[in-house]
Order: sequence, then structure tokens, then C-alpha cells
Amino acid sequence: MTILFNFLEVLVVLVPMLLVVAFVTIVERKMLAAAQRRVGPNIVGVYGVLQPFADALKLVVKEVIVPANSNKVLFYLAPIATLIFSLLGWGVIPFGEGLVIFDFSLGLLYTLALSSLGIYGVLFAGWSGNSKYAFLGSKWPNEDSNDLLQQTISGKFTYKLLGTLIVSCIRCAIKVKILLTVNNPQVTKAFNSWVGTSEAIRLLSKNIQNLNSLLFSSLRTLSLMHTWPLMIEKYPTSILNLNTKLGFKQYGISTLTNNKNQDPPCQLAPVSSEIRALRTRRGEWNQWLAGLIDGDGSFYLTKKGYASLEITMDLRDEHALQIIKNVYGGSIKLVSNANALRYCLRHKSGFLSLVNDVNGNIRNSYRLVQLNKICVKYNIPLIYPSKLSFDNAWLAGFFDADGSITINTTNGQLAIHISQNTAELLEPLTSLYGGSVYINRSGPSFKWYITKREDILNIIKYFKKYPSRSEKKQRLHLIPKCYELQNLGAHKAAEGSYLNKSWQLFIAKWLKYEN
Amino acid sequence: MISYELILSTAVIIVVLLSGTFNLTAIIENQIAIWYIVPLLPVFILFFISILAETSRTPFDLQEAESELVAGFFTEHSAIIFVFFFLAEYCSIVLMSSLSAILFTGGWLMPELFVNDTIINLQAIILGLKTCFFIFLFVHSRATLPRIRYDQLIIVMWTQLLPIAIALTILVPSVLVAFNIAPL
Repeated sequence: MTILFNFLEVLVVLVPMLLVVAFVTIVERKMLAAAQRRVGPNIVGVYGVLQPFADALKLVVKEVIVPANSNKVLFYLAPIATLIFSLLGWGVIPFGEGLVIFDFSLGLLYTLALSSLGIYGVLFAGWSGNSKYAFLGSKWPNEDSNDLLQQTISGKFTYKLLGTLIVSCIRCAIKVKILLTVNNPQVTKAFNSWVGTSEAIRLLSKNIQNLNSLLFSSLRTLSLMHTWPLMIEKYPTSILNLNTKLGFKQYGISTLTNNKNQDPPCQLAPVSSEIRALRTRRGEWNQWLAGLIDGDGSFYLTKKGYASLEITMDLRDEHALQIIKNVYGGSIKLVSNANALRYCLRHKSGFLSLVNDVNGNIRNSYRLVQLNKICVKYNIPLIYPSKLSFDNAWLAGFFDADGSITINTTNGQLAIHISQNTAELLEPLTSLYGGSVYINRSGPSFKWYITKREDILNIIKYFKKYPSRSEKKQRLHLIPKCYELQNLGAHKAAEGSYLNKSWQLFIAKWLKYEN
Repeated sequence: MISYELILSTAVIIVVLLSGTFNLTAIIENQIAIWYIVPLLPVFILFFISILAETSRTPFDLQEAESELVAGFFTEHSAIIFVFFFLAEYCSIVLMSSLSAILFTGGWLMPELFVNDTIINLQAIILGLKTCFFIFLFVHSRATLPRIRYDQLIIVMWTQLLPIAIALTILVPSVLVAFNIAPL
């Protein structure tokens, strides 16, 4: 009985609704006629009000034609689904106080959901008819949900989202690993490969355009490279030992080959104090050189199998390039149309000893990919970089390549910064040396910026230990003086005072080392 | 499709934020003081535009662009199954009109003058009249507005209406909180 009653209740709503629909159509036709100065339907019934019933009767009596090639189920389902979805919405509409089929607490959401379901009828109908016109009709208005949206929004959006998601996954994994301190080698291996692969995917999606051609070689490199920091946490001592051992061995080999070669090797070059210092601190030199190459250098491998290294630096940094030339040989040339010098290393023995030296210290992923190609060619095992530490001369080299020091002329604030196209290399620096990474406003690049005085003084201490070899060291030497003057308030001193004068002198000196 | 459903749902969300409920009866009862069309007129305009698009009426009737496609997505349908489409289309128009009557003009609420205790229930009639007004707007827009192009639809929806809708979603609750009248 209650079922019958419910059924009646629904019927009481639906039958008038279908009648209303009939009258709405005649209202529409009449109104359109009025807008266009026509009479509109006026024959059937009084004033034409029965016209929709006549139309409906005609349609019901007509023969149903179904296209032979259509999908029959969807073809019949589409109109029924559309009608059902639009009629279901009436279930929550209150016609008066208590006059509602179902007083649903989330009625509004229900209505919205049903109205979005209506699109399925349209899609079914457009597709099932197997007709171009119908298909286009169903596709047009929905294009932004199918193609356009995917291309414009979700494409880029999910890219970014995917990236951040994977990064957070990795962070999680690292944390979990630290917490668990897993000793089972199989578990560790699985973890590493998982994290490595996901990180490789992230990096690939980041550099996808540049790496398209290098896909296969780089995939291997990157995935292995990013497994490294995890492994270093696990076996820090063993790997570091291995690294230094390898370094010494390679050094031995490289000097030997240098002796045989006709190019002036380091032994024959005038033994300056600089080079003597180099020999005692070979590791530091390698790190510095790797940093410099990460910033300004690049490895090339031509199709003829012709490997070379190029480092482009400012004209004023000739000294730095000369030092490198003294060690490995090669040539320095003036770059036409620019105030720059290009150091070029082509001959095999010097090149190989350089590769052996910097191998394991290169951190830039582009450079690593280039280096990997060369390593594959010369059959050298590529060593992946260890985690950057404070006592590593890599930053000095990197700073020599891409860094600069500036004083803001308005407020006298001193800043050390390094610009890069990707934040990948800059992010580790913030935790070690302070400062922070910004997105450059002028172009699509990132900037590592240090402005805090303690951090800068800390960096200066670092540079005392691992000296900069470019002209930028002049400004580094001037920084303590700058702070001294600023402590005296010279940068804000009144015009004409001696303090101001000394500040002006200082600025003049500073500008002399403009780069 | 997503483009105007976003605006539709944003407009509905603003009404929900103002009334504090998803229940249609409760939303109507909250409008005893004032119809929501008065404080939320811009939201109503957004809502109306998006329900025009939702029911695929002119100027957004790209699904059945008669002059360009034969008849739109139901080209192959004829006779009784075509009647179903026809009914569904007009049924959703009436549904959306009554929904806007409920959300913005107080549903079955009427002036005190007409409230009576007799057997005649004026409430449903009042709702019907309000719905009729919105159906009139629907038909009027069909009589007067030309169809817009597909790319125009997308550009208007994504770059003009959606930012306004999102701005209003922030503005309305902010005002409610500022005057300490936010529904719990």
C-alpha cells in the first residue's frame, strides 16, 4: 500500500510536469512568433494551446527509424537517460511547506549532480547515431571537458602536480628510511630503485624538451644519480673512501700519460706556487674545477667521436683559465663579439685526465649527461656526485662561473648571488650556506641569494679556505671593508663628510671590479 | 561543459554559504527576511547565464546549432524517442527555472496578504508563477540573443565569469564574517 502511495506521489508530480513541458513549448513558440511579428500556431484549440499535443501525437504515430550502423542499445538509452535524469531532479523540489517528495538534506548537491549527469545522454546520442552531424553536435559543447581542457589546464597542471607529488614521495621515503634504518640489503635496493626511478621521471618531466634526444642515456644517468644521496646516507664512509682512493689512482694515471704526451704537461710548466698548492690539495682543485664546469663549461662529443671541453669565462678571468691550461694543456681563444675568453681542451690525454679529475664532482644534471656520453666512449666508469657538504670547493668553482656580488646603491645592502636555469643545484646550497632561492623576475631562471651578514661572513670564511680563482675574488676581499664602513654608517653619511668621502672611494674601487 | 558547470556550482555554493544549508526547504525558509536576489544580484546573473548554458539554450545552444549541424546531437533520432529528448530538454528548463525561483526569489514565500488557512494552497501557485517568470526569461533570451561561437563561450566562461564567481565566493563569506552574521 505504501509503495502504491509513493508511486502515486511521484505520479502526482511527474504528470503535471510533463503537461507543463507541453505548455512551455507553446509558450515559447508564441513568444518567438510575437518577437518576430508573426501569429504563431493558432489553429489547434483555443489560441493554439493544443498545438503541442497535436505535435506529440504526430511524433508518437510516426515510424521509428534506427540507423543500420548505430549502436542500438545506446541509441535507445540516450533519450531515456536524458529524460530520467531531468525528471529525477523534481524529487527534491519543494512546491510548498512540506509538499516535497523527498526533503533531502543535500538537495542542492543532488540537483547539481543530476544536471551534470544529463551530459551523458547527449554524448550517448551523439556517438551512437554513427552520424557526423550528431557526433559534432555532442562534441562541440563538451570539447573543453574532453580535449581542450586536457591540453590547456590539466596537461600542465598535472605535470606540476605530479612533480611535487613525486618530490614529496621521495622526501617521505627518505624519512621513512631514516626512521627504519633498514639493514636488509634487498629492502634498501628496492627503496633506492623506486626513489631513483621516480626522481628520474620528475627530472625528465622537468627537462623533457631538452632531454628528448638524450632520453635513453640520460634516463639511466639520472636514475642512478639520484639514488646516490640515499646510498650515501647508508654507507657514507665506505663511499667517501672509495672516492678518494679512485681520485688518487686516477691522478697517478693522468700524470703518467701526461709525461708521455708531447703537450706541455703540468710537470714541465713553470711550477708556480699555485700549482704547488694544487698538488697538495688535489681534491680541492678537482672540486673547484667541477664547480666551474657545472657553471660555465660544457663537454662535447661530435658525431666523429671527437670529444672536447669548453669553458667560457669573462675576459678578466684569464688568470683562472691560464691555471687550467697549465694543468691540462689546451688553448685559450678570444670569443668574437663578446668580452669573453673560451678555453678549449681537445687533445686526448689532457682531456682524459681532466675527466678523471672532475668525475664524481660534477653535479649539474645537463653536464652529467654530457659527461656520461664521454665516459661511455672512453670506457670510464661514471662516478655520481656525493651529497654536497660545507667543506667542498665545488661552490667556489660554481661561484666563479655563475655567481656575482652586488651592493645595492640605495640602501647599501650587500648580496652574493648565483643564477641558474634550474633550482636543482641551488636548493642544496640554502641548507649549507644559508640564503634562499628566488625565481628571477626578468627571465625563467632561479637565483640563490644571500643577504644576511652572518651568512656572508660565513661564506667569506669558506672562500678563505677554498679560494675563488676568478676576478670575483677582488670583490670578496672588499666585503670586510664594506662591512667596516657600514658599521661606521658611512653609506648613510651626509654629503661632504669624510665618512661619505671614504664610502665614495670604496664604491669607486668596488665598481672597478665590475663584472 | 565543465566551464559553465563550474560557474553554476560556484553560484550555488555562494547561496549555500549565505544560507548555511544544502536543503532546499531550509534555503527557502531562510529567505523570509529577504529574497536572495537582492543581496546576491550579481550571483544571480552568473547563475542565470550558467543555467542557460546548462540547459543548452540560446545563446549557448551549440549542441543543436541548427544552421551549422542538421539538428545537433539528435539528428538520427525520430518519432517517439525524439519526443523523449524534447521532453527532457524542456523538463530541465522548467527544473532550472524553478530552482532559480527557489534559490533566489524565495520559492513559495509570498507576501503576508496572501497567506491563508483555507484549503486553497497558494504556495505551489506562487512557486509556479515565479517559475513562469524565469521561463519567460529563458524564452526571451532565445528570441533576442544570437548564438555565440564556441571559442567565445569558452573565453567568456573561463576568463571573465569564472574569476568573478571566484571573487564573489571570497567576498560573500568575508562580508558575513565581518558583520558576524555567518550561518553556523
